Amino acid sequence: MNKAKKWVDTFLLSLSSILLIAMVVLSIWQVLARYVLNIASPGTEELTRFMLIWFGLISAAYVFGAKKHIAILFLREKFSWKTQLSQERLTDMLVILVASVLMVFGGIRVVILTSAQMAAATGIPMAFVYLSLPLCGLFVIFYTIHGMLTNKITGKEEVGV
Amino acid sequence: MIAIAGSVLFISFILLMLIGAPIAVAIILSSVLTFFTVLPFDVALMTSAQRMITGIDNFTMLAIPLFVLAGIIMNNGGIAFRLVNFAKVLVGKLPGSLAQTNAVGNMLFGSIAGSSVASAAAMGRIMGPMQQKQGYKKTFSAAVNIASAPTGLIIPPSSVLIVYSLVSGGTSVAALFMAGYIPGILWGLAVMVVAFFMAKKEKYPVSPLPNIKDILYIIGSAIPSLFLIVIVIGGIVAGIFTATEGAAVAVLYSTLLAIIYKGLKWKDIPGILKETIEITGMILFLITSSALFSLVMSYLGLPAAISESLLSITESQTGFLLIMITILLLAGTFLDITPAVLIFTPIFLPVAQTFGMDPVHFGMILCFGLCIGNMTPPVGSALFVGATVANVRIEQVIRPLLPYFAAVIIVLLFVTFFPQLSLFLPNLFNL
Amino acid sequence: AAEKSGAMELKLAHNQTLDHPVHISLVEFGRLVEEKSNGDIKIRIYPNAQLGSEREVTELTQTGAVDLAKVSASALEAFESDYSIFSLPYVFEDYDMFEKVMNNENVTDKLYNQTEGMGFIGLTYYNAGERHLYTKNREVNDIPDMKGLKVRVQPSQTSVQMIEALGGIPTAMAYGEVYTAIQSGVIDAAENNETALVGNNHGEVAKYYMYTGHQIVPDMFIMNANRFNQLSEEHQEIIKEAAKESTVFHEDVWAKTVQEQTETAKNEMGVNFIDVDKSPFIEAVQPLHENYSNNENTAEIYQLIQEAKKDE
Ligand code: NA
Ligand code: NA
Repeated sequence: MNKAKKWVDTFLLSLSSILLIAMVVLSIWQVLARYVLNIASPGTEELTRFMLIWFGLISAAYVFGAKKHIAILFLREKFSWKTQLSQERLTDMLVILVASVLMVFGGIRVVILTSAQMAAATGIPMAFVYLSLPLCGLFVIFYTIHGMLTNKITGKEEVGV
Repeated sequence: MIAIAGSVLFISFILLMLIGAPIAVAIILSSVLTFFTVLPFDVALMTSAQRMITGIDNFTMLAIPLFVLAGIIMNNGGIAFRLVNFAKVLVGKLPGSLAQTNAVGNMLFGSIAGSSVASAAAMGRIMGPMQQKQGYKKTFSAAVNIASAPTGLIIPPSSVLIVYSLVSGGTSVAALFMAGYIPGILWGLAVMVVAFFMAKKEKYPVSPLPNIKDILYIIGSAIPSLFLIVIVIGGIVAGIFTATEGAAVAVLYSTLLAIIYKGLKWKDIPGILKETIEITGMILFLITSSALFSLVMSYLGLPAAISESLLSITESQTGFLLIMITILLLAGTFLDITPAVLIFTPIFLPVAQTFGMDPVHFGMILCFGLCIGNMTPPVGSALFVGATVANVRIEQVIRPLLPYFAAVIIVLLFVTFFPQLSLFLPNLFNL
Repeated sequence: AAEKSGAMELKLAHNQTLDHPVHISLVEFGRLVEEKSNGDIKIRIYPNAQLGSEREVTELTQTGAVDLAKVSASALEAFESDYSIFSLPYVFEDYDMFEKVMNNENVTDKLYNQTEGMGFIGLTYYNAGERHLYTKNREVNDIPDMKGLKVRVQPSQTSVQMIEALGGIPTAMAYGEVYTAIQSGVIDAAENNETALVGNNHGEVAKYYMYTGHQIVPDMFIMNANRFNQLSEEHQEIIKEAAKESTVFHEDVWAKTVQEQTETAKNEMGVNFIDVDKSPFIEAVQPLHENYSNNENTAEIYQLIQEAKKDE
């Protein structure tokens, strides 16, 4: 199980990293294209936006695995260890519920609904863009089940920006 | 109907947060539950799933991971130390000169790195040991560091302001960036004024200034770092590139700088990317959940209802602003800045607009007010990090923080009731 | 309240402000529906992009979260390629021709019903103006004047090809950045209807407005297909009639707005309005017409439009 998690971690991190670097390169290309080469590249912005969607959801799934989504824990920490543990399990169930019903099931419904839709500038099928949601839902489910089996608990709140 | 749906929304949201669910999950789940009360199951589900995607589908939003990445590269790139030396030259003759240097260092480094956490950590690590050697109390040093660290969130470039731009329906990022300078610098100055009196009382020493040759060297080596601000902010304000492209330029520039300064190695890159992915994965997911949350609110007509009931309490703009500031300060004690900006903008902005307030000025009040929460318990990232690096307990630093807290609130009142503090620079540049 | 019990509420979303002509016409649509149905149907309007961008509200209309939406024809291109025909420059030589085509049932039946399988149908269109070229400081009367002109275009291939065909340099950028970009000289020109001069203050930085009329891209009024089909025949008729009447009503509101704003741009901002001979422009974009008439996705609608133009 831990091996599987490591594998998924590496996969998601690599994919996110590649997307992040590609988005940096494309954004710089866009500036260059405009000033140096005098080309309008209407597809670049659209492509970058779609990469951002994939990047955002894949990274979000990874952050579920790392248990680093911001939560407010100072109240929970006032309770006994046992109560805290059951709150954590309840939270895990809710995460699985959201991921399976909304992200996976709802996401697939949306993919089907948008199957005929094409992006304006690049012609990329919108279904491909929307596919990121159910896929990331699956990873979230995987991580949460893994966390429950290995009895992981969310630590002190992670500090954001 | 709207009352029932509204209650479902807020009660489920608060309950979920109380049991410690991730805030993004609490936002999504309460939104979907609320949709179920007004729409057929299938429609509610598809609508929610769609908004989870379209909520990230925005080119400006790319600026957030890019600025975070640039900040992390800077943080690894030996830039903080050069800026500290530069700050020392600027304010070294004031009482408590090392504390003053810490505050200015936070304004400079935080401005570039765009993160109160990175800033508090970097400055605390560099300045803490120096201050102890000169006999400063640990709690005093920590308080100055914590109180000044959030200035980098207001002084551009700033992810917080980009988040506000997105959630307020596309307020100009360039205008918000220019608006951030005066309030952000006033915040830093307020901290320095308090530190001035505290240091005088404690009779902390004034450090000797380095000789002129060293000063010139220090200024020279800080210039490339400071030049980043000129390129990025200048480019955005002049309309040469967008905020997003500016952020990409910042990544490029900081990478080059890090290679030159410290020999950024290939092996450092995975760590830098991982840190960026962790922070932005969290932020982007929050943003997209909030897009769903605000869709549900608009669909029910809640902002209008809230706005009406606020206006029934007070009809004056001053009254509304005082109520809003109070709510923001309270919320900021336990909510992190990004989720708070996402939650409160759609609630308060429509009211502000009925008073004809400028969305740039309003955004500055909102972000400034919420950033103050960064230094307050129980949840405050600058507080946590600043106390940790100074090796003091959070309880110890609360009392020394109080005068700074008061001073910053006074600045907030100025920012609120003198719109020109926010609008002067954007107007000057025709933004 | 005095609300009629059992009154049906239809939700209508659009992205314009409360003082925009199309909002006024949509309010009129609501009034007409309520009047004609004796209060059986009420229309609730969500203005100001409260429920999201045009693509988002189109999707909300698909799922049925909203019943009605006003979106630009260009936003519908992604859903149905027929709508891309409006991006084709000079597919209508002038507004009269546009009106004639848009009132031809062969064209509208194809356009409006094509998307039923995707969950929505078209009800009517609203005049959203003719797009003209405006520059910072250069008068453009003929194709040679276009040479080297950096023009901001909408992010679509057709718009890019149009500017290239006319000899200019297309530059893709977000609409919100156009003002600063013209001011700083990053671009020389942009193209839009007259309301951009006053509504977006572009008249402060762009002083020449040429009536090139290269595109006429209407706003489309769409409805969730299931919702429409579930209505009684009588109610369906009422919706259709009210939609048509509001389109006619809108022509006046739009014309008045354009006239007022043109006066303001002329007198208060010092913008020069210039009539140009369209024929060299029309000729220059002919290769694009060939693309459209040869492309299998657009050939049929292109043909229908050409036939509708010839109709007496
Ligand atoms: Na900053
Ligand atoms: Na706090």
